[in-house]
Amino acid sequence: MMIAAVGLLYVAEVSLVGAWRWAAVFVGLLTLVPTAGEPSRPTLSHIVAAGLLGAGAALTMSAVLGVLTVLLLVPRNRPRIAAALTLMALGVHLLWWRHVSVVDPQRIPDAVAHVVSMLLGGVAHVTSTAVIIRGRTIRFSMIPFVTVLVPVLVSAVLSRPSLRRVVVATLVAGTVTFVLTTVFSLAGHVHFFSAPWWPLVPLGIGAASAYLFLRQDEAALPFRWGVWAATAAGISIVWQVGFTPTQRPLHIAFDEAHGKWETVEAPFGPEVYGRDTVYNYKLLAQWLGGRHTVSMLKSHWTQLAGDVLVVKMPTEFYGVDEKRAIESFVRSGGLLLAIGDHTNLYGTTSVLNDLLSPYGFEIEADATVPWDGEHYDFHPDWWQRSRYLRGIATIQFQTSATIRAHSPFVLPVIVGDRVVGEDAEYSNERFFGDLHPGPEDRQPPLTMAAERRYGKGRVLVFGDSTIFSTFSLMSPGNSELFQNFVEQGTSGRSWLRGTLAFAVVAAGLFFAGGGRVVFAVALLPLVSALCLSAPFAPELTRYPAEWLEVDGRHSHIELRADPRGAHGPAFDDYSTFFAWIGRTGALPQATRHAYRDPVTPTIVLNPDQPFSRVELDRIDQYVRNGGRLLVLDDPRFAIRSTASVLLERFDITLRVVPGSAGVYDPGPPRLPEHILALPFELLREDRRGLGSARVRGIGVALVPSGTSVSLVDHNGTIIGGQKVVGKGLVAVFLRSVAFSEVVMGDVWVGQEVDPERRRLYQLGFDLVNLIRGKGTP
Amino acid sequence: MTPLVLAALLLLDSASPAPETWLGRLTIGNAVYAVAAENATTADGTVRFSLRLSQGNDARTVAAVLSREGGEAVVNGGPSRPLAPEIAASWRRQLAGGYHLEVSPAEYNCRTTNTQKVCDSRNLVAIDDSLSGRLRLIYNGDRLSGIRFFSLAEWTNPFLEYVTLNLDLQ
Repeated sequence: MMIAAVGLLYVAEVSLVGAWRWAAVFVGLLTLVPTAGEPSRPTLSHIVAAGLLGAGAALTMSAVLGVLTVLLLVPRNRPRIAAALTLMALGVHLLWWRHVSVVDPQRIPDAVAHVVSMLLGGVAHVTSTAVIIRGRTIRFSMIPFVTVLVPVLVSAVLSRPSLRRVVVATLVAGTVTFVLTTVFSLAGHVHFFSAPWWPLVPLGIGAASAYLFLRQDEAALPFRWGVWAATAAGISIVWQVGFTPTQRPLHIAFDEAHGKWETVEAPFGPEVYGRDTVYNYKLLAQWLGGRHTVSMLKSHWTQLAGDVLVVKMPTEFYGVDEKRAIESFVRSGGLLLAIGDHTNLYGTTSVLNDLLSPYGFEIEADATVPWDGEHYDFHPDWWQRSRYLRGIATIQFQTSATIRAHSPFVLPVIVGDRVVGEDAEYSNERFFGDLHPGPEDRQPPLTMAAERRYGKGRVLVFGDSTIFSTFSLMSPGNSELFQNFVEQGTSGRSWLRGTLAFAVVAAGLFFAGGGRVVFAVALLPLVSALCLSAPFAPELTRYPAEWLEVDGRHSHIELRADPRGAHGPAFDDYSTFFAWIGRTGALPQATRHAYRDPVTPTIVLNPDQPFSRVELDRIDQYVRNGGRLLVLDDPRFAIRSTASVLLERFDITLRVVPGSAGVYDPGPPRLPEHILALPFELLREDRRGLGSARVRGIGVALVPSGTSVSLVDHNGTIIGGQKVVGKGLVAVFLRSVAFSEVVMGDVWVGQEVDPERRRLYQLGFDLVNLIRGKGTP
Repeated sequence: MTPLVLAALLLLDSASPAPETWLGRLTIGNAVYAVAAENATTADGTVRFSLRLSQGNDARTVAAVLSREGGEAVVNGGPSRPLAPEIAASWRRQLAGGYHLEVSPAEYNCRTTNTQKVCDSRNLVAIDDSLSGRLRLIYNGDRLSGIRFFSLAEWTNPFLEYVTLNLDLQ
């Protein structure tokens, strides 16, 4: 029973995200239905008390305080209440595990502040008295005490003080809380998704589950647990099956008539560079074109056809006729995919909000700033998963805007929990604020993507246009997210699914013989979440294209593709090289499941993960069947490299040999050949002329043998070679740092590329083309 | 040759024609330096050259004597040292030609105003293996009278900042 109770708590936790919040409230309502043999049923007084309790607790986030009060007022049943509190603590821990469970002494104050804020904090914008602990605002007021004590006292003085009645009241409170929060949201006072009402739901349900399942007379429970569990699982599976993503080719139209931001018509190739060539949706359209029909809307419209309309960063307001056409398009089954970005950049948020307001969305003029670090990487937990995150482990946001809802029909798709929303500062470049989380910022959870069904179609809103740009589209998770947007966003309701679900419920009722539906329904979110996160989510099908895979399992690389700020160890950052593969005509993809198709060339970059025998066999077969493999490594990483293990399979050996580097006494400033460079040379602080040699030959070089020689360095040391193996090819290049961001530069580059850097790019293109079967290194 | 002797040679050679003096400014990001360069050619073809780069009290200097046989230089007041033959020859060639920049005219885009001819490099010019930029040469008649050079951070540029060098013939 304890396990079942914990399970219910998880169910409640699932309910925090997406449609499952509705299920949790539904559970609370159904709990009011009397059970056979139950002597008393909730009265109007109970319901009123529940409402008061819920409203107070929700507004103050002091449900834990309320329960502690109950514990003091009701001396009986202390063990049961203690169990309930234990469950609640577990729930809180699960909800905030990122903050609370990190065993880092420096983070303890954060965790304490967080717990204190949960216990005593009020609602932002409603209470004003606050203290700030380590940047986190904790609002204090008398409301928590008053609003909790009053309903508890009301409950206590009702005809017979009953823990059960308090519990029932708590559950009803969940409903009242939800309604209140919605009202607040509609009034624009509280961010709909970030309103802190929701901890009440798991806490309340935790209390209910503890009370119901820890009774001594369990035999009297009027339901068959196993039957209902099976029923719930059946409902969940049927439900999920109904959301099978669209597999047919779609007609996707890009709005090019309301601004040129992220245009699909930009040039992109090995000859043209600069921000305009990569800050666009050219590659997105090219990639989508492999499966779908892609078109551009270059002039204003009065009617729309097709399946998906992509509206991205518009700068020109939509006309009445255009908005009417979009509304008709969505109502008849189309998907409106509206993509915005941070801080109302160039007024695009204003334009989008004008378009989206009838649907209940609003994009905030803000920028998400991660609580820790410079970049926000969204790693969805199992309870954060939705069908739009199918096959996605991480989304590397590049400063998103947050989304606010004015309609309860809007459901969050991506909810971030380690970011704050910082308002735009229009006097700064790109309207960024100070880009540091602070007490004045909106606190998490914050929504970066949300959807709403509208008529037969849907509206999807996403707050970060940049991640689909050409330079970062193929970074892990980004193209997959867009694929989910169009495939899941166009999946329709299924009458078959509804019929099957009804049949499953009827069968459950028949076999269980009555009882409460509540427990079956309560299992629905849990099972559904599990279905979503693993077994029933069909794998993403890669669109037809000339793909080039990067072995993400063994390579040691970072592919951040965010030009803003430092990216960590620059020697490990190959995001520019990765993005530049697209300039050759191939589409790069980092995958942990490379070497499956010999037609797809593969790069393994600075490998440092061990190759198992099975993996080596697979790679061997891949190459012998025609696969073309490029191994990039560098003597700097020789100590950790596993490339030699891989290459030995093909009778290629790597030897670490002394290089020509030396150590010298510092001489006077180096004098350049060109006299114009002399003033600059005098100011160089990073190099000097050479004095006497102290020692020579202390460098390290990595030299291949067993290959033909294709490249040598300035000393004549062999650094590149290739070998035909079976029907395939293995090529090696042993100066991979040349393609790291510290040498290649970032993706912006500039329109006019330095000749030396262009030659470096060309070397990269040549290596890529070699394994594409289209050139020599 | 000691620095003293070198300086004396630079200052006392009465046989030389009037020296050319170039003044200007070098910027690296927000840092600004004053640049003063002087060069003169003696009757026997020896070129004497000095460069001073200063910012407040901080100054860096180079003085060099460049002959057909080779050259010597003093850097920041240190000991005189012989220049590598290829560097000496290169400097001498460039200074004797009035900062002849060894760039083919075809690589410049020139336009003429009332009194000046302004030539902009069509492509990036590498003035060193670690510094490339755009170059503008300004001529009064046939005589080079101004040099403008800039490099962006994203080009080959060891300072990773916007740098400029402006020199005008006095």
